[in-house]
Amino acid sequence: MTLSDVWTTPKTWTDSDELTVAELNKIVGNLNFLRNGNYYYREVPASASPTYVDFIGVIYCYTGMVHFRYDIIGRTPTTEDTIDFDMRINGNIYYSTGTTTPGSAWRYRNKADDWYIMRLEGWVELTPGSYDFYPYYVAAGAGYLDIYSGRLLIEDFGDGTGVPPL
Amino acid sequence: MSEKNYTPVDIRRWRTGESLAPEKLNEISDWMWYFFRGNHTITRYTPVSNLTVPLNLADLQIEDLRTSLTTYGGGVQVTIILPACYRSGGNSLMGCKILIDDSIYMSSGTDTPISSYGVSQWRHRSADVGVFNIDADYFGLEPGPHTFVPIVVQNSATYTVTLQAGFELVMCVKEIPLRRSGAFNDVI
Repeated sequence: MTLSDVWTTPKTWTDSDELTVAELNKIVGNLNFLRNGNYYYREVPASASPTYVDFIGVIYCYTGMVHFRYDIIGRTPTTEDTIDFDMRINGNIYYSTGTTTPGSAWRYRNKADDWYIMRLEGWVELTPGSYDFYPYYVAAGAGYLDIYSGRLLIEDFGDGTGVPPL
Repeated sequence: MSEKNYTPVDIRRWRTGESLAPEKLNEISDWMWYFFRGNHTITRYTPVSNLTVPLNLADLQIEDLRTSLTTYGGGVQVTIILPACYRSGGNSLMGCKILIDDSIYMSSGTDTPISSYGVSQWRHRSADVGVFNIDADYFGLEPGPHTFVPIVVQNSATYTVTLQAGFELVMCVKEIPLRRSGAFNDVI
């Protein structure tokens, strides 16, 4: 999907402008963009003791703000344990720290063998460009994570500065 | 419960012989820009020490997440993420109320919440740590500036819930442009 330059350089028409086919096509193209949205979505398959690279997601961000939501149904099958999650962006920056060192953005301590719905959600400000996202986790003890199913959604969220014409 | 119904407006249609003034094209462009950019605010707060949710459903009003948003006739979607809630002792119920303009509870649209737990409720087990996610929509707002602040409660008379230090609390308030029934034109 491409984005017409109406967005990066908002068009202001004047009396002397000609309404060309190209300009009309930009309007239609951008309406289509708005209708379809700009997001990445995938199902997360069942997996025993997965590694985080199994559920990578990629998006081109035009607006400078990305919203992500990673939902999993999971458990620590053998023992109660604490699991800390983070989100790794472009392979090197972690959501919770803004650095190359992972931190703890979300924490669950789950009873052994119970199934939990775990949601990791956040917003991250980025310069326009292409980014990949993948969840990262670490167990505090000997426990590990089993995933029954899940979903990863990443969407271009907008920078929030929109004001409608009055 | 607050109710509000909206009257659909007619879709703008041009007619033969009508001039296409620059102002109309700019209006189209401005509306598209609004939809592209969105209208929202995101606030974040990382407590340096644990925040204790009081006993017996007393309010913990999280002023550090207070925010304001000017709306233009749409509703709002409020998302709150409390990323590490620790439960000590026995089980309890947690809830979250959202106060608009310091006078309206989101759950009821009045100055009294629809329940002691507000818009969301979570049963929390002893020694569990979990992420409390709250999502709620509200469509009763008049256009203009509005403030939003979350309030967390829990019902135990004995044991505490803490929002753990070092984890970033986040609240996003997003205007939902009015949704009216309609269909896309074939040419789009």
